[in-house]
Amino acid sequence: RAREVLATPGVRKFARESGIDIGRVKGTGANGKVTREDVEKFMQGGNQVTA
Amino acid sequence: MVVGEFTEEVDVLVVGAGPGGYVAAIRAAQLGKNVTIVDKAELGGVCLNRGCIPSKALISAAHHYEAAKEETFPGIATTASLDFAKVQEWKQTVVDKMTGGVKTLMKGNKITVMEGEVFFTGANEARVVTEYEGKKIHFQDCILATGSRPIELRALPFSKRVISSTEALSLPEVPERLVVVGGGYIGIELGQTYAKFGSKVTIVEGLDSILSVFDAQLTRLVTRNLKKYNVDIHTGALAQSVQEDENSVTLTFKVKDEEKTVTADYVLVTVGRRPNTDEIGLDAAGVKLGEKGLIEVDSQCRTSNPHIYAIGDIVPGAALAHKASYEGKVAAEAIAGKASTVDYRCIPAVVFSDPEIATVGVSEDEAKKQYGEVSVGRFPYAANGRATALNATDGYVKLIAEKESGLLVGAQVIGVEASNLIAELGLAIEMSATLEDVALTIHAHPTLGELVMEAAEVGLGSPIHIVAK
Repeated sequence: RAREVLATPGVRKFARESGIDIGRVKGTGANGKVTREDVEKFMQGGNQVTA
Repeated sequence: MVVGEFTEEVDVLVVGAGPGGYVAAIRAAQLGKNVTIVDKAELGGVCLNRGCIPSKALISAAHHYEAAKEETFPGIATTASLDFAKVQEWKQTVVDKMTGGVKTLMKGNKITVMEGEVFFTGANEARVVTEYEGKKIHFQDCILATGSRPIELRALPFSKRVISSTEALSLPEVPERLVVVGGGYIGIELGQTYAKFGSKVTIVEGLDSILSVFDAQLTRLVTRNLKKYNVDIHTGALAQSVQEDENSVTLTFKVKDEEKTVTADYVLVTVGRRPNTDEIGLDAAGVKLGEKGLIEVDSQCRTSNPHIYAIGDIVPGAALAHKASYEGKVAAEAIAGKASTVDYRCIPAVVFSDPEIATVGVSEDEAKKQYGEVSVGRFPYAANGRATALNATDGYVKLIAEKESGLLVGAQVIGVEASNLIAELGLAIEMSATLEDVALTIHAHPTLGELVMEAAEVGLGSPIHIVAK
């Protein structure tokens, strides 16, 4: 099974409230952890997870 | 139908004032909703009145009594005596303080509190029946938090001497002999408590081990301590029947094909809890029931009626107070239009046995299944300075991490204050911390918290206070 998305509870909330499915955000942190900046970049069209 | 019955309009009706319900009510009020909360009995629900709080109060009293009585501490002479009526009185003051606190919180958040039973009469409508009157409530949204109640076994119907956890928490005196049917966490907590108060306790468990949801390695110390208190444990034992007379009750049970009996003052039945989803008119409300009387909900705790939410023991998942409170906040926020969802990586579980057991995340076996290779770091209380100074050296902290990344995925603690140590580990898992993150965090010395840091070092293969294998 795929590993859960790594991100702190606060970042997960930020993504939710921004209407972003955090599973689609490419994480740049340790072990692919998604940071708040990653979510922000995703909203601007970057950091997309390639299928 | 009462003529001229007054219908009250509320934004949010919360049904049930347990840890799910009252937290939901507060969060909804914080978000600007006009909230009414109804409970048929009292504020605080099972947890505060007949569960978590009174049981922990009795456990605490039993612990102090044991410490004073058993000369467990070198150099401390003991002359302990027990006034159980006073212990019960004190326990009640603890309960009253906590429920009084909830009352104050309701008032402070301008939440209307009603005592009565709720029956739904429509998708947005309910009747609240109190002892003297009925009242109709029209709600925009509703949060169902009706909780659970003890399961009654058909072969062992509740009576004067066949009791549930509720009665066991309020016994007027320490029973000479107590039989506990069901060796789950409630049975073990109460059984061990009365054993410390001096009861001769017998535990009858249907499965092959007590506390069977936990690893056998984890529960071994609890079993050992129960035996120290002369507790008889029968596993693989099926309760058959009870025979009750004026002064005692005899339980017949079967182990394999052998029939056994045990006579006691009380038989305490703690075989599980069932959701309170019957007799509240869920049909009329358009709320569908799933398996085992539980209500299926979406990630915002919404039921099949989009304006009715359900939280706590009546929805699937662990029946734990902290899960109910969490869901209460999610439901209230969803009602207020927020994007909140149930989104956690782990929920800690604690048994207030002696020693305490606390777990969070996955077990070692589960981690192997999910993540393949794992690193395990285990550190004993006996090598910790604070534990030694506390004269409480039984137990260990065990951390389980994904081998490749070092990500912490599970933790198990058995030992004194395990219930508090687990908080850091829950945070670490939620934060996607690695063993290294934990090991590099400076923990105060001398504290039990250092056990966590050292266990992480063991997992990394570089322990300081034990010799690496």
